[in-house]
Amino acid sequence: MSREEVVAVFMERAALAAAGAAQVADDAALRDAVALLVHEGKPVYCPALTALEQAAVLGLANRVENYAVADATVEEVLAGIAETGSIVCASVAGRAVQASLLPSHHIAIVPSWKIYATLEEFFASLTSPPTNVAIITGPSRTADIELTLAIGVHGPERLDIIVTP
Amino acid sequence: MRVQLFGTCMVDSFYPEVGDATVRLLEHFGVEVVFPPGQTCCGQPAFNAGYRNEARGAAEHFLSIFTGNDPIVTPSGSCAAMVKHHYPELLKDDAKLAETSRSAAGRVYEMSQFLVQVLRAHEKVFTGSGKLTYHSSCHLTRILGVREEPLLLISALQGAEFVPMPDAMRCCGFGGMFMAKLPEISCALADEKAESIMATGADTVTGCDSACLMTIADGLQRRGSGIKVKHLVQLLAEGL
Amino acid sequence: MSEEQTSRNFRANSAASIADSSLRAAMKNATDTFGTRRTAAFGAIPDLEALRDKASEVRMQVLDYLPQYLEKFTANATSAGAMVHRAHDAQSAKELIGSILKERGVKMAAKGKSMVSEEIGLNAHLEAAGIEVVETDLGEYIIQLEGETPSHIIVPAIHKNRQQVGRLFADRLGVPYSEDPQVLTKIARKVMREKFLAADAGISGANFAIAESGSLVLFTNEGNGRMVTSVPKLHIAILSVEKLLPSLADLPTFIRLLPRSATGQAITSYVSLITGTRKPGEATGAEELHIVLLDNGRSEILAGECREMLKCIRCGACMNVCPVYRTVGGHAYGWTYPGPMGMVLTTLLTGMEKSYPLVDASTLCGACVDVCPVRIPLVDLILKLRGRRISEGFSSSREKLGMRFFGAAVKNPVIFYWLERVSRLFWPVIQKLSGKNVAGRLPEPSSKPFHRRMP
Repeated sequence: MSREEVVAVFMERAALAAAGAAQVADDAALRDAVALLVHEGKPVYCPALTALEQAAVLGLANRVENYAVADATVEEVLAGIAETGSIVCASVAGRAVQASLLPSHHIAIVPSWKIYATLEEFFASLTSPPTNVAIITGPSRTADIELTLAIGVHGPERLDIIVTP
Repeated sequence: MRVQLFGTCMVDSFYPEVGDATVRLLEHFGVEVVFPPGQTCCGQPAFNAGYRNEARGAAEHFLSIFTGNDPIVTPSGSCAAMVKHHYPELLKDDAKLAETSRSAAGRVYEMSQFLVQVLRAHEKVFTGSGKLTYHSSCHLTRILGVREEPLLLISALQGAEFVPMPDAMRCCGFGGMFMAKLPEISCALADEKAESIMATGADTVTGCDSACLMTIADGLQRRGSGIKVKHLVQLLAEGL
Repeated sequence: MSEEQTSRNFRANSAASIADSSLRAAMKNATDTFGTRRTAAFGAIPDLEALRDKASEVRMQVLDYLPQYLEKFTANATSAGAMVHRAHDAQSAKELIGSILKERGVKMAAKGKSMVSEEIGLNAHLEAAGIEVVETDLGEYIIQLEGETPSHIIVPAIHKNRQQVGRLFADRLGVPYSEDPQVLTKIARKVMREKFLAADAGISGANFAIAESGSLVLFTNEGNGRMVTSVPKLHIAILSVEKLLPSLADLPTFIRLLPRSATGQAITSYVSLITGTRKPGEATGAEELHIVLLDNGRSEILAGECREMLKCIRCGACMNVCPVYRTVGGHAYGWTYPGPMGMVLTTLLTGMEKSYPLVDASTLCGACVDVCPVRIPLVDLILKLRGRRISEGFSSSREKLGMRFFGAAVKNPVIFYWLERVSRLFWPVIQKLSGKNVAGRLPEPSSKPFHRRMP
């Protein structure tokens, strides 16, 4: 599969799992996309470790240092997996994986070249797993009551994925 | 062509008309039907309840009656499955009978299997009428893998309208000793099956295993339904 | 789970379930829905049979070399910072976990779903020791509030309808009554969030343990599994010894099979990989991780003829298609595990004396065999257990006598046909004796049996 095909499958499968999925062409578009996604006035957490993360939240108001009080986390994730439409967060480079768990809204940035086509390819890349790896597909959910799907349980109620070049 | 007919204990005692229809059908297709005398039961009731010795005894007796190389034909999916799949395993350590059991397993057919695979009966025209639905017996379907043959034969019944049953493959609740040991559950399952049948609007329900049809007939009767219950061989024989 | 095993009352339990119309409706709705979802989920998979073969092979491989894989897992988990304990039985597991928590002064533990913790009765033990255990999985939370046990291994509160849950929350949490699952879920989110953040310890199960990397794998949807394994400083994971996989490369097969088999999802919202404790420079991970590997009878099963039961990956697909489970629900089975895998595993783990009626709980229809992702030959195992019941002396003497007669008659046509005639003559008596629900369902024997119509 070509990179375009991988991205296309990734976005389709992510959407099927109730994640928002969008593609942006450059840093400016990324910043605009993030600004549109975050809720007006609500606190946003971003580790701002990578260039992409910094570009994504450039000029964004209401930034907080503590993800535990944030309404949304904006972060670049470790990887994507096209087969399942998943993103992967991991405890590398001092990252707090809880940042993708506690806030109500998770905005995940994944460069297209970090998207693996299959689960096999992803796991092959994980030679020495960090302490905590989370393969995330869509927002949190449950069907515990009458098997009726309810989105947004203990983890994020909303997941938006932005694919960058 | 000649076949050996295994009537089954259920047909022998309770549904001899199914045996009659089986013979009539086979003879219509020019098959010589031999009924080896002294046949009793395939041994399922014992086998399914965990009584392997008694089941082995039944198998030994069966194999002493059904000798030679002719196809063995039976109007019961579960009995055919017993011979085909369980006899070789039951007798694999028996020096004398291991080979015989494998031979019998290799030449046993459930009726709809034989009609379609060997006689191509589904290519002929039979007369049918009314609205018909079909119950897929568990052993027939899951162990023998007979899924298409009954449906092909049903479609050969010109004049009958076939309506598929919801959850056709769900167990009727017979289960051999199960119906005696857990009658409450058995009746509940039979009742659900009756509901599925009644939902089709059919006037007749058919199948390939008399034990299932018996359970179904009782389930329908308890609901006060007048839907007729007929073995597929009966419908075909009547439609000749 | 602290309630006594009631498997011996399976028939009476079942009769009660059958009479419970709201339970019947809940079970029908659930099993119909599971069926539709599973079919849709696997429709997209072109090589399902090959996948099942692979999964079965991998699980068999693990069972064939279990001691070695356990050793490998232990070594790798330990070098990643975990403390790995082997618990021989339920009591030692409970005591171990209780003492770890007590020593660290834990007052409240947040718990993710773990069937094996139900099996050993962990919650009751901890509560008796003065430790509050909060079930954080929504289904488990519901039954904990209700004081019940799970009735399904994936969806513990499947036997309840929305009205019952609404009333439960209104009564026990003091919230306004609502039967909207979305509203009820948000209530649980709020209640649980406080607990996660206040918990002194997290207790979880694990779907798999990876020998090669020493990792625990959790398949979850709600986020509570992630919470209890990454927020509190202390994490205790309990799983049974056979839940191992050799390497990370084996995971894709199970990621493709387990969620589809369980709930019809292509993948759960979260697949978590936990490898040891927080390393220097990391901001996620427990500071202290205890992994309790529970045997509780598995070694014995492994050495026996029913060892394939240990391939089970706890997906629940078998109970979702079982006509008996559909009719009677999970509680009728009287112990932790219901349905086809439950009747076999319960009998193997708790013994024939406590479980023998369960081996009857099957019509041998084979629907379970059709769907088991790891190809456990459940019907064959049930037949083996039925044989074992006889040899261990738990069959009724009336049945044994009857079978002996049958065994003699079936080999002797003269006797067989004579019995047919006698049955017909005494049919009204037979019907009366066995009841309208047994012989009353059979037609009257024919006056001219088929064998007398044939030359």
